[in-house]
Amino acid sequence: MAMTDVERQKRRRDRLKAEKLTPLLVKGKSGEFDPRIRVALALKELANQKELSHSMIDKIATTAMEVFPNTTIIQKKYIRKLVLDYLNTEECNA
Amino acid sequence: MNNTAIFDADLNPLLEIASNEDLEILVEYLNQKISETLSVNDAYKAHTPNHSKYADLIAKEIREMGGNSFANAYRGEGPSYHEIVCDVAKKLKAPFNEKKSVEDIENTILEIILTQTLDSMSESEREELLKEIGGKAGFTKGGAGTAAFITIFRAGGFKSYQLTVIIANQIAKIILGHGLKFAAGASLTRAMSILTGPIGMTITALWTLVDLAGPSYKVTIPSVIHIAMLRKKLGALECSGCNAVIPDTTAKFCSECGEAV
Repeated sequence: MAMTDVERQKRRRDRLKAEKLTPLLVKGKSGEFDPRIRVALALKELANQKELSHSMIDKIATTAMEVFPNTTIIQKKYIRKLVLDYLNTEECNA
Repeated sequence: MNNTAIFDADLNPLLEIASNEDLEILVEYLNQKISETLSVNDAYKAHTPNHSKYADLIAKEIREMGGNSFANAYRGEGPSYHEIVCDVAKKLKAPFNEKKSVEDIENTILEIILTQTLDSMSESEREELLKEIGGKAGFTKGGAGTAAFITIFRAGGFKSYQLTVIIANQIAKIILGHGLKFAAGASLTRAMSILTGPIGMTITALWTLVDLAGPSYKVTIPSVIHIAMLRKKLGALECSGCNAVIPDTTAKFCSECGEAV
């Protein structure tokens, strides 16, 4: 039987909620950390210690934009902003 | 930005990369409603007019404006932005498919406003407008004239962006009493002056359809149109030489200064 509008909306909301709440698995079954998390935290640490130059941070942000293909320009700009915010040492030190 | 955990993939990324100037109009639309909760938020009080610091709260507020207060309380958030855009399209009687992307539905909304505006323009006004946005005069009579503009709009590129800015600017002028700050560029000003009257009449006619009860269409309709304009602006390439907006994402060179994109 065809779904009613209410059922369709509920299914869509549930799907969106599920997408939003999907946890990022940072630990494996035996408790080991995902190496990608280590890389991200290491970069953050270096940025906090001002070991990364502005040009290097810019290069990381620009590369992050292109890591996954088929993203729109808006998504790319958003990813760049997220990465720059994450590695923004001034904000971290404040 | 961590003012709220509420996130919408169709809205948050766009608002979070927007400038303070881009967000200013949205904040003004929201502040018009007595029921808004943005201005009582601590992040708003601390950072205003630096709107980009609380873009996530603006997104949340827009979504809440699009839903019934009781339903929002039950859901814990407003309806999805996709649902709000569909509601606005329905209200404006724009033909749309729910399964299409937000961008497609936004374009349908802009098209219906453009069609109604063009229908209320005289043939000479249409000819003048076509000339101002860089088109060649010719198909400006009756339905063929409207179809010619819709074709220009659907083709994308700078002319389509120009028409969108004109619509968003005119709506801001009518509702807020002032237009968009960045829209005062020389290439847009002339075309805007031609569309001022007809768009004004179209929007006034649309306003009479808007109910005062239910979702706050007085906020959601102008917000959706402004966001559609922002999607075109921020989704476009930008010339590193002259900062011109290049909506054609396949362009290799800037149409303004000729520099490689």
